[in-house]
Order: sequence, then C-alpha cells, then structure tokens
Amino acid sequence: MKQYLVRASYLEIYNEEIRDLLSKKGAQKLDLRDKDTGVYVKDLSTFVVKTPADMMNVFTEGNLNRHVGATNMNEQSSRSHSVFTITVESSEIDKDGENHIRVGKLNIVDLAGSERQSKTGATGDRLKEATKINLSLSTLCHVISSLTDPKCTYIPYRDSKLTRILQDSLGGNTKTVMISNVGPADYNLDETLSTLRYASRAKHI
Amino acid sequence: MVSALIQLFGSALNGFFHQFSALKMVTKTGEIFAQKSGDNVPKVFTFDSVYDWNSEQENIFGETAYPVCENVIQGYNGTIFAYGQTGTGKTFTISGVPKDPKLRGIMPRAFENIFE
Repeated sequence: MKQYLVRASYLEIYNEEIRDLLSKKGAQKLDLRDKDTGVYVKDLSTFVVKTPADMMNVFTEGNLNRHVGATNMNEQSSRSHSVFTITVESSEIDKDGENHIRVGKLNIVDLAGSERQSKTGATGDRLKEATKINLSLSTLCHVISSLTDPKCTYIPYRDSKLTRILQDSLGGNTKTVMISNVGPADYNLDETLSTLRYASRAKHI
Repeated sequence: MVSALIQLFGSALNGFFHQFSALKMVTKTGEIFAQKSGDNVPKVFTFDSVYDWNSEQENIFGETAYPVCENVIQGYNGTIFAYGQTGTGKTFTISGVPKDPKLRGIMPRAFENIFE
C-alpha cells in the first residue's frame, strides 16, 4: 500500500527579500539557510493539502499577498518572482516490511517581467523594483550560461536569492522546463528578441 | 526543455492596434523567425516546442508540465519556469482561468494531476 503526503508552500522574492506568502502574520521577511541537504528557507509556512481544490485555495490565498503594481505596459504587472513549491512524499511498505520513503519536489517559478524602463515609465519605487528584478534575472541568465559552459567551474548561485533557492533545481538532478512568453507586436520586437535569446541560452542546461 | 509561446491576451490586444509582421512561428518544427526592419535575413530560434495563439492550454500542459509532474510523483525534483516580457500573458499560461476547463492554466492542471 502506497501512502502520499502532499505539502505546499509559496514565497516571493521582492527587492531581493524573501517573503512568505502564506504567513498569517502578513508577508514576513525570511532568511535563507544552508544545510547539508541543500538550501532552505527558515520558518517558511507549509500546508498539508488533500485535494486539488485545497491546493488552489493555498495558491489563491498567496496571490493576494503578492506585490503587483501598474506600469505603462501592464496594469497588473508582477513585481516579484514567486516560487510555489509542492512536495510529494510517498511511503510504501515493501514485502520485507521495510518502509520506503520518496520525496519529490515541484517548483513552479513565475519570474517577474523583464522590462525596459523607458517603456514602462517606471520611477521611484517601481524603478527600484525594476532594477532588482533585472539584476536577479541577469544572475539567473549568468548561472544558466555558466552551467552550459563545460569549462566554467564556478557557478555564481550566491549572487541572487532566486538562484540560491533554485540551486538544486538548476544544476542538480532535476527536470527543468522553461516556458517563455513573447508578444507578437512589432513594437515589442526588441524585448521579444531578448526573451528568445535568453530562452535559447537556457536550452543547453 | 524550453518552449516559447505567443499568446494574444491582455495588453497585447488592449489599447493599441499593433502590427504583427516581424515574428513568425512554425509550430511543427519549433522555429521562430524574428526580423527587424532593416535586416535582410530574420534571426532564427529553435525550441523544443512553440505555441502560437491557436494553441490550447491542455496541449501546453500535456507537452511541457505533465512530464515534470509525473517525475515528481515518482520522487524526483522538477522546476517549471515562466519567463517573458511584462504583459505577454505569463499569468495566463500559469493560472489561466482556473474555473474554466478549457482555459485553465498549468497550475490548476498540475494540482489535479498530482492527486490523480
């Protein structure tokens, strides 16, 4: 008999700070810690979920706490990266009566939009956010291109919170899918090209 | 695995009337041709899969996220990234319209898949 335990957690990285989107005490700042099993976020809330509807509630609840702001390009622009993690633990007792536990983890990462400041008209807080967003996106790109270069021995995971959290999901033994959205308008061709270039580089992981 | 997708939702349709001629997608071969005005030849990108505005959420999930979800249930790790310029429909791809069976995005489908 196989038994499953499914847990969910949801965080965002806003201005290079990690926030728990499911905390009852509001979006709190959290720290990253290293353990021999990998990097983890200290005190991150996790919920045991039993049905798809439960999971959807957790996701919707967390979304309410996300940072969203209006720019000239999109009235509901995501201003943070979000990581929704689903942990599936299965335990099975084999014929010798031994208990086998397997743990699989699924990260769904919604990266904040890359943007040109001149087009979005960002100033003040929006501009500050954009600078951090672009910085962590370029670190992600850097990590990806270092991973694809066999001569490169140093991978700059530590340069941003995003790449640290995803460290074992990028280089380790994980199945990774990257979905890139592009707009069809000629007006956005420059951004479209940069998205396509970014995705092309990721292809070689 | 890397996929690219074009969706015509949200700001791509609202407000301005855009011209769409610089970008061509060939879903069969996974190629995208992007031609800047002034360039003689378009730049070509090839991905594992390419989805245009005729694509269905169901196929996008089935071909990209589903294999990752299955792996996770088997006890492996998986990561799905969504990336792109702001306003190109990332949120639509990820969440979609959760209550609509046709327009549901990757998240609600993945949730269901895990409990199957």
